[in-house]
Amino acid sequence: MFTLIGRICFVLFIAIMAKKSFSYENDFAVRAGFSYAQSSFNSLEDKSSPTGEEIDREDSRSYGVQTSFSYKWGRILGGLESRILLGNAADLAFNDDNQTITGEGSIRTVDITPFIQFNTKTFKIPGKIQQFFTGINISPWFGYMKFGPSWMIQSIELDKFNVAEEFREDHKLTYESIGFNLAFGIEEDTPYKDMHPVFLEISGAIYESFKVSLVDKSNSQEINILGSRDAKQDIKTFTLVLTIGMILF
Amino acid sequence: MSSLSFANNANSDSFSLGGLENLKSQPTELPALPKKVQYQRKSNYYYTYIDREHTFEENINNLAAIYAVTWVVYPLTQPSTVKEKGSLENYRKNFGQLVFDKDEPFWNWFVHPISGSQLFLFYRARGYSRSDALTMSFISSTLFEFTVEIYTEPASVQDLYQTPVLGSVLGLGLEKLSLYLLNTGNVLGKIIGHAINPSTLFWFYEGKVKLIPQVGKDKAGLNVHIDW
Repeated sequence: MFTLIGRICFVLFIAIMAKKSFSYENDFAVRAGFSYAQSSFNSLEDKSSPTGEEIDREDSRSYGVQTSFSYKWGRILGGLESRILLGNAADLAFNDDNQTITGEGSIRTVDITPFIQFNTKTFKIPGKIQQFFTGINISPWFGYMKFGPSWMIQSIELDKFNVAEEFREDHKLTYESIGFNLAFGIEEDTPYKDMHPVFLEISGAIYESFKVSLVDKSNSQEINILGSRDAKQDIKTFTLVLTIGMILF
Repeated sequence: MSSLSFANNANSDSFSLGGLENLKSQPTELPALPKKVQYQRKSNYYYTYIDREHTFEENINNLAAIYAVTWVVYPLTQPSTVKEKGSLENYRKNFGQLVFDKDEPFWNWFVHPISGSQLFLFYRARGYSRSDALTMSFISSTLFEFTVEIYTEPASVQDLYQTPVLGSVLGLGLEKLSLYLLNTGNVLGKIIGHAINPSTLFWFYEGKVKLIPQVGKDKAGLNVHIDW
């Protein structure tokens, strides 16, 4: 998966050859799209077991939605974006208060990223590719790169786990993390945003946890935080996200 | 040369055929046209949204109105939370605080976006464009998070973003669906249309257009009447 996404990134980078970027200007826009994400936990360091054997952990796959609210000045955009991702992890292993929790379960992720985006000039899809998609009116496109600091909260609910005391089935762990998000994408260059231009984006984000809370969720309407503590480096997350969406208004 | 004349008046909808007697096979009599008027759904109004510019005073008045409503609605919709967790001490402690809340999806992905969608639809009803309605919703929900909800809990990062943005995405869908239903003219459509977009029921809704047909000698027209 990572190899495929890497290749797509490379192709997008090559494809971003330029003329001029038009589209709407000096206006707000709301984008929304569907996302597929693949995440590795603790993959930055935790590659081997205490016995020295290399661990091949299964990545977490998740699906969700991405929204953003931005303002465009010429070829630069500034705004806020957020993703909500729901997924399952089969091979979780992380530290909590000096004990290792292993297990499988579900992960809910919400991140918020203030970003700056730089658009390239407009380019056109080569004629041969347009011919392949006969009947579809292919607009000019522009490429973009955007980045910004990112804050994320992960709620981990374990179905099967190996841990002593305290942690119960109606408990969940929530990790708050901070990191950095970098994205590359292409977007249709339509004269008006009301034509709902489509975008395709690949982003990579690295996070490091800074706080963990144990939460009693037995009453879904009124959660009870049982305890919180600093959790520096408990969980490191690397996430690749593929998003396709459009400008809504 | 045969002639075909067509007569249609309010009392009888029928064809009268003249000059066709000499044809070899007589045409069969055409069935009478249904009295369409009888089957039409009558609607005095057309529901839409009319975007316009607003003065600074109007913006302040609209924000103030919503802000006042939130002070009433919050304790009414969550009495147990306000009773158990609410206090002036908490208000002072939470003032200016910003946290990631740990709420369950019911709140973050259901209640807050629905609240945001109704905020968006209120500002749309007041004649704001979609982008302006989102901006006003953002200001309103930020005021709520930082000055009302802190009576019980600190302001939440997710709520600050998701209430206006997810709310406006949901609001856009509700706007389109409600207009479609309201303009069908049938009772069920109107009930559901008003239920999912209650702002269309109130006096402040500016998109209720009255259509008055005007028919005179050699002319026909439609008088469009808009109040705001």
